[in-house]
Amino acid sequence: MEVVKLAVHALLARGGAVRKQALSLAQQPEHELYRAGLAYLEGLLGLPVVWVPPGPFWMGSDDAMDPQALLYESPKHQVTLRDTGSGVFQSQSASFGPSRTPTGGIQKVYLRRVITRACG
Amino acid sequence: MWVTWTNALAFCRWLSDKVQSNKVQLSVDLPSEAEWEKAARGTDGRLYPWGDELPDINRCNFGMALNDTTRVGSYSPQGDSPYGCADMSGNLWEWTRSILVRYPYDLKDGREDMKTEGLRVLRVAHSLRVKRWSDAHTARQTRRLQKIGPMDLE
Repeated sequence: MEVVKLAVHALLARGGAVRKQALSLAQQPEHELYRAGLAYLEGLLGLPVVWVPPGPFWMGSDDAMDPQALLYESPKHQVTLRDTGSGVFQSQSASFGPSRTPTGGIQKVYLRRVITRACG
Repeated sequence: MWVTWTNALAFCRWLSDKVQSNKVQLSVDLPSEAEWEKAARGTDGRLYPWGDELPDINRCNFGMALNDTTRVGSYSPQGDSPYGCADMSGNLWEWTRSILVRYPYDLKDGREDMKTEGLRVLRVAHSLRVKRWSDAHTARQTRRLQKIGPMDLE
């Protein structure tokens, strides 16, 4: 995974205790390595990034738990985010646009793994 | 806020190019409604990022307390979601990539088709429109705003 390689290389280049950390990162499960990759991305983009894991969650709301639920919010139902190259990382914010106010122009964006079709 | 859906997408495309020019295998996109909602409330079906307790001015920007928007992270960590995502309640409406279609959410029913004409969904409560404490329900994570076209400012 390219992100991970970059992150580990960036850490290796710094030597000492950081080098040790990089080597231990390389031993960890894949999602830990994603996080290392994200730390690298945060530095690159200057945006805070959080990790949203794949798997099921409860979406929507209904009268049973929430009397104020509107028609369009119901029913409460289970949805699964898959990790087939999507929906893994989210940056907390991005400020942009020509007409932004000092604190405006905030929009969350989502980072997805690029799916590259490997041969075979 | 102050961003059209089309401009938000253009920003994502620009950021994608920037990331990929650094040989990083990630692309940047607007979140789908499902991705946004999971980031906001985690897995347990809670009403707000922090749980089911009603919002207060220490947890999010709502109820005209400030009469303005706030910087990202102004209510961290007490207003954060289980994943540490900030400002998922109150402050501003945010764009998703999804077209407004009735639940249950189905990834494959066309609502995530970027080429289809349709009204895209905004999520989160807008503080400046929430005027009374009794309007706290509009900061709920499940709230969806409809009837916003691609070129409308938000």
